[in-house]
Amino acid sequence: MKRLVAHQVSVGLISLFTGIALYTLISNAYLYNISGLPETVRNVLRPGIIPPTQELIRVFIQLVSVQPNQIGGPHFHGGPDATGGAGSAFVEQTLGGPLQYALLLSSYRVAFGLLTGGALGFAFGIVMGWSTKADDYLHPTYNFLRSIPPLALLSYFMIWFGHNETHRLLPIVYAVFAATVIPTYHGVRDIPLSYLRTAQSLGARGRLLFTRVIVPAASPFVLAGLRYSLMVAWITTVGVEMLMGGDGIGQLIYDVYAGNVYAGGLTVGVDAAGIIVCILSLGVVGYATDFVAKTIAEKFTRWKPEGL
Amino acid sequence: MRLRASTAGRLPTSLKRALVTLFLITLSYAIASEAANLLLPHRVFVGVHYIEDVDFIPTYSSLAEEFQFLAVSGILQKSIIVSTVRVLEGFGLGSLIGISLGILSAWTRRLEYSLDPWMNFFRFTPALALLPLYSLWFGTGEISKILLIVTGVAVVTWLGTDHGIRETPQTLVRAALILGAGRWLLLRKILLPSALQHIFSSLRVALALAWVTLIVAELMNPRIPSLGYLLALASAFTKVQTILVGITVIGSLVLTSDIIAITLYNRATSWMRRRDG
Repeated sequence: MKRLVAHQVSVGLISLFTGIALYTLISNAYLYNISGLPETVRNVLRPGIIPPTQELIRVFIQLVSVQPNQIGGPHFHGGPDATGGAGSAFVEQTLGGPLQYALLLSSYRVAFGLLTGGALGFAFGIVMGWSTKADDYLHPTYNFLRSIPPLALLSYFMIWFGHNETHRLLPIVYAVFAATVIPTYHGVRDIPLSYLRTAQSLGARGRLLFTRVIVPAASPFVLAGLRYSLMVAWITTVGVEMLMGGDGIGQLIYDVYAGNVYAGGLTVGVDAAGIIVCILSLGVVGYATDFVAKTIAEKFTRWKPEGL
Repeated sequence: MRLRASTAGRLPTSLKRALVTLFLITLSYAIASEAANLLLPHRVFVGVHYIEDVDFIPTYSSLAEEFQFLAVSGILQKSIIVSTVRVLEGFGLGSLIGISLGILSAWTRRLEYSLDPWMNFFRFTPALALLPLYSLWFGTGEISKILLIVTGVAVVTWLGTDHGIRETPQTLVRAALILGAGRWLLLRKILLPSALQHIFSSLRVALALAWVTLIVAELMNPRIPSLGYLLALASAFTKVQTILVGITVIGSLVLTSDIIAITLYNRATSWMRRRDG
């Protein structure tokens, strides 16, 4: 088993490094005499289109290490005022670069959405999965609500709550809620009848039945859904921040794209390098959160029989 | 309470109950909108100034008026067609790529291990984050919009297919191998059918995701026959009626496509054993 894992890790690393090396080779091709290549290929092989690896590293260091007071071009609408939180100025000063600040803010939004929306969706899913009556009454309405893309609701929420943190968090909560209900519902509805009959004939009722049979039996489905919910939460967060953010990683990507991030008088953005750096760091943070979710899921469902 | 009577006898009851909910929601919305018309302020502070004539909860009559305007002017129909075609193109291509990648990555162990880090990585770069990059690489035209949807859909279906094939009970695989099944036969008769459920649920997720992606993607190089830009315009001018009509239309479209998908799935898997009480 251990050897197998070592094999997996080594093959994965080899694949990763091969990919990076290939990219470095291709992205640095413009430095050499490539006039023999056809024009379309030469047009693609430009540092503005495929930024070389060393450029990515330079931009990354710049985005991570620049002090926040040096950032703020004429159109930069990030910064502590935009969040309105009292602690955000402190966070920004402690963290240093705009990249960490943006990633932290976005992860906070994801975590908030996941906790609130997840709890709501879990409760709703259990009610609908358990009671046929509630299922009949609520499921069609829920189906329609679920179909509305959360980002489409963004503008309506903004009219109600104004341009502040509430209207950014609500679509995320809503998206996670909709994503959590389905696995919980199916988990509760599809509990093997033999489990329930056994517990009931042994006299389990009410709370005992709920905490010892229903929740454990449904939890593999819920935890499998947790990783989907996490993905949905990240997607919604980035979408919300890109559309109406003010701050966070989605806004940073957009700022870099529009050339709004200034670092020490130099524009970081406009070229592809800044965007790619932001996307890559988003991927790394997303991977880390998924790893946490996966570990939790495995820890709680160790008893799961094979083939469930 | 868990025991359900036979499906045939239950259907009218569940329909009746659903209609009761629908009726209650319709009624309470009517009451709320009339009350809001009287009680809530009709202006909203946006950034630096007030916008007048804003209904927080617009009445049915004003919604119908707006809907009539959008329908008669043809904006709504054209937007629906344009956006749906984009979603379908992106979804078809993306699911094709995703499912084949999933089969490929679950095919041999070495391939699986070498594709794993890339898959884990791409799963968390939301397709939306790629929007600026794609508009830089492929321009702001139709290609980037569709490619954005393709990326999102492909990642989700790749994960679903890969997961489904890996979750295939090993007893089935071993039994087939012992009986002398070749690779192709194994894939066609054992792995794909048992992964079908996962593939299908990932397809449903991907379909919803495609719509979310489209709403944002349509904001680059916006043209008016498109639902995403219709919503954005409505929110820029704070026209709540248009926003609500747009939301309802998009929701109905997603719901319809979901229902079509479920019907197709049920027809395709009518051979499966169902757990019905």
